[in-house]
Amino acid sequence: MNLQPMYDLKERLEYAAIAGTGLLHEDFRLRRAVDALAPLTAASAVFARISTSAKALLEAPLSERSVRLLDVLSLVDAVAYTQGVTGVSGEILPLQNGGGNYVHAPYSRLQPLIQALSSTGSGRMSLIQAAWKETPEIFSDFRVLPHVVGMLGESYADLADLAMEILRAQSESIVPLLKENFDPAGKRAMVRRIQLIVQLTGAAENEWLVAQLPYAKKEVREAIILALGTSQRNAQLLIDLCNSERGKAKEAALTALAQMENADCQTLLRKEVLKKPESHMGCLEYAQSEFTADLSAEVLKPEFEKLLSDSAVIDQQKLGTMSTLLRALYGKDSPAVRELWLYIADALSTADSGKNKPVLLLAGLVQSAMLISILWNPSIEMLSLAREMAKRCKKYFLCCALMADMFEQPADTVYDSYSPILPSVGGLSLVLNQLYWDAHTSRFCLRSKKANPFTGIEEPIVHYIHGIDSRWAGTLIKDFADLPNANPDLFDSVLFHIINPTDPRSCEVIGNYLVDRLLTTANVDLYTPELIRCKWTKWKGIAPTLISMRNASRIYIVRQLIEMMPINNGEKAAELRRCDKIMQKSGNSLWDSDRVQIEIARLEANPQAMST
Amino acid sequence: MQITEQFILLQAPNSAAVDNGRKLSRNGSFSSLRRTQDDTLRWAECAGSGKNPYRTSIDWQAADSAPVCRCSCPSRQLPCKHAIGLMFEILSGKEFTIAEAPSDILEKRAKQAARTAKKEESAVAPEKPKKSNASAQKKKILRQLEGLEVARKMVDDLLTAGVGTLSGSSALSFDKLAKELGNYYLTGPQTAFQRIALAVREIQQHPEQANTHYAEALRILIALHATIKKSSDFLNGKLESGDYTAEDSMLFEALGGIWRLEDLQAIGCCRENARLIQLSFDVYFDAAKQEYVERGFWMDIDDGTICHTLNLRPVKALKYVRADDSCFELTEIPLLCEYPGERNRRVRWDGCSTRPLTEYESRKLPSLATASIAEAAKIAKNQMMNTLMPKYIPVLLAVGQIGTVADELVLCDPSGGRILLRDRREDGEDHASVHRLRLLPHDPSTQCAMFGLMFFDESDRRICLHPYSLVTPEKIIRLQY
Repeated sequence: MNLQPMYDLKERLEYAAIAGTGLLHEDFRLRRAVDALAPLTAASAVFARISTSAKALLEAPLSERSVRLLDVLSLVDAVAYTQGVTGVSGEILPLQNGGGNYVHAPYSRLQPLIQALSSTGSGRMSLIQAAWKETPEIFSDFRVLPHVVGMLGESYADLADLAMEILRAQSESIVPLLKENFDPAGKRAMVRRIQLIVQLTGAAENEWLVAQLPYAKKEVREAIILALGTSQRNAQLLIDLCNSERGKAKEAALTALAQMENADCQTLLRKEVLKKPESHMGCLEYAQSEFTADLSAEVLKPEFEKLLSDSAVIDQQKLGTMSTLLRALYGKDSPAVRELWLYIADALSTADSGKNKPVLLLAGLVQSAMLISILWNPSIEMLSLAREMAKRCKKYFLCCALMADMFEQPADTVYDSYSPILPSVGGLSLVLNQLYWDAHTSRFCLRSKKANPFTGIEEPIVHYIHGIDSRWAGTLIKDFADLPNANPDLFDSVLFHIINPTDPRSCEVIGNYLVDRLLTTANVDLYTPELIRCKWTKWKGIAPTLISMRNASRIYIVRQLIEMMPINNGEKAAELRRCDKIMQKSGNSLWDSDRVQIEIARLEANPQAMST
Repeated sequence: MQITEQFILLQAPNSAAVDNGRKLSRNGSFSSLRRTQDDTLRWAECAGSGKNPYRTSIDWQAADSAPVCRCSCPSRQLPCKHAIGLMFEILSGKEFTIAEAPSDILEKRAKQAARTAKKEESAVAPEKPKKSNASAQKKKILRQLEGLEVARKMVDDLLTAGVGTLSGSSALSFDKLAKELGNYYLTGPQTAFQRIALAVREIQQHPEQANTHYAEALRILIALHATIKKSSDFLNGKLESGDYTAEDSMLFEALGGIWRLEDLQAIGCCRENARLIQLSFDVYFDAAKQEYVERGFWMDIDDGTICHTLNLRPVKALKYVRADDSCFELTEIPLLCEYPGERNRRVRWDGCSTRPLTEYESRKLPSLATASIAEAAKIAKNQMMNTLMPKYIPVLLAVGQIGTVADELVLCDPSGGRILLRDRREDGEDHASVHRLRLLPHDPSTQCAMFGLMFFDESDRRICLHPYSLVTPEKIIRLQY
């Protein structure tokens, strides 16, 4: 049955309601719609009733029209509802599996998080961070994930970075979500999506990336081109892009090209790098093939020969350029590269670097580059090379041998070998600054960062080592004390790196030193957490001594120190009482004794509680 | 006493109290943890900002009802964050030393026991027939009839001039009209006019969407017209019969009446020992009434009927009204009160207990679904035809397959019947859930059922389903909350 006349009548009645019943008798379209209903009236009693009511409405006096109009509308509406259809024709395609999980989280936990992820304004970061720390699984919920993807476009960079971190921790099943509503002409959010897709899937989404390229613009285009380096199938495409692109897109194409093993690609790359080494050497930084290693050595060798044969030509500009070029050597290993490193070691050992500042600066750059090379690629060959360089030029490369030995030798052997010659180990702080205590594994590790060549995102490099001998702490502190004009702040930052909370012997030595430094500098924020890391227990008396020594009359310094101490409230109250006694004697007007008494009472109310 | 996180969520006045309580427990603010030998009382001291700690206790003297939480803090929230924190201390399995109950709590317990005994005594004693003030009731009905006439006149005037004149009217004038209806004990029609005032504002702010808002205003007018008509008959009938007691009729609420639990019990709208499981939970803002509506859809696991709870939190009293939350456990209710109506009745209760679903109960849930889409659609159409009823019906449908046809999601029942899955526009963007189905970790199995709201989509005159959750034999996957 064709119900269109009824729907037409419904529409006309609604128009009549909008126009007003005062004009109803002039509405010829409504009249026509009522007439058009006639064929249906014979089919069903309800249509006949509608028709009769509609006709009565048209004939009704003004005072009755509103009621009648609403009556007819109610009736027509009711009939329309009864005619609603459910069926859908066509083949049903199965639902693709999505990328989310289901987490049993109540409204009170989900809604504030979703709101923080999808709204704007301040105060969201802490909420999201807390949720990420306490309940990371909630972010894999299919109701939350789309909002995290949406946050990639957040203008507040820290939030966008947090979204990246959260999404990087998910499985590759979230890729369809990242591809949904992807805009190749978009901005930073789309770049982040590309980076995530590449990180999660590698070359698996190559076809999709290639399909996006014709529509991609600016930074999204650069990101896609960089990502094309994941697949060797893109060799010809990248050659074409190197020839057609300009600026940053060309740099991205060359960086991706450096990942190709195709001969044509290598020829083009060599041509481009040799043509403009300062501009294009950066493309080789994250490539690790033998070809790129040889190419880097080929470019750098003549540059070094020039600089080391005549130190007078070394100026700030040359050093800056060399710093950029040296990055291409990071982690690379090939006969040509080894030959270059040994040449540099020989040349520096003979160069007059006593008071030759340019040579010293150049040597510093080379030293750092070699250390990073070891961290990026601690192969047996690289470690042997480091030792060989140290043999040829002890002054600059003994630190490299130390790092190499940390990888391979037991902690006590390393200490026995290097502690007697400690003053001659130049760049020691560079090595120790890479050292970290990993609380999760209770092991020392050497850390660095290296960008993913296909995304440009830095990723941590962690190498666990045999350990650090507990005697290092005492030796370093003693040697430092003997050094004239040494910077204690720099030394302290190095010392923090060798704290091993599981080694009571070294903790005792470092702890004593740090207490001394705390009392000397009154830098509570810096030294107290490190003392806690040393599992320091002798807190009693530190706060009163700080007051006496430094006359630290400002209550907040003492209060902050006491607040941070890992002791119970009763002990804290006792410390505060001692401080108060000293300050009351001194009669310092800045000391607010009444406030201190309130604080003491608060702490003593719950003496066993630990409130740090 | 067994405490679960769900139990704590049920007791808490709002989510902030839960978070704060959790923090207090995590930060070690509690000391002197004590409990009685029979474990009906637990108490502790909690460090606050003041000199003295707060004394907090949780008392399970009456085992079948919620515990009595007491605290010496000045907070007006009940239970306060300290009591919630103490619950978290119990939940985390902290050691409570056995001790004699403090005398002040014993005194309070005695008073509480006396009050309960008195209450029980009065419950046992034959109930005195409530004196209803017939003349006052009659006066009220006459006033309501007078108000209905005013409302009818308002509707008449608006339609004579045309709904299109709304764009030129002042929203304030509709607010005034709505306010006037308040003088006639007609809060239902009053809300309808507030909604029209809201439509006026929307038309004025977004003239490009005027047609949508005219249609909305017209829908309100049609419903209001039906309410006025039916209510006049209903009230006149009462006047004629002289019976002014409460009746099992939806018109009482449509006029703006508020049911009390005892009134519902008096008209027999209650049942004992109900066992409900929540299928979905959502919150929306009613701009006309300026209140948050926290809605839960529940299913009786014994007979499969679906009902709903509404927790209304007016903006003006937001912090004083306890917030509702999702409930994942089976709720056992000694006395369940149901609002008048046929399907999807609103329910309320005074006391309840919760427990996790057993494997058997969990597996049983999908089998309670309606097997045929056609059958469910028939029921939905019957409800939608009634002008006073909502234009949707919550249903649990058995799933044969969920897939796509021409990029639209479709639910197929086991016998091959199909229905389109769409978001109900009236629910707002925050309720959109169809796209979430595409993100599900795995294709829903054939053993599952889908819970959602069946509604009529005006755009192509189809009956569609707005999916709210998937009920599998293992769990309920909520697309909302």
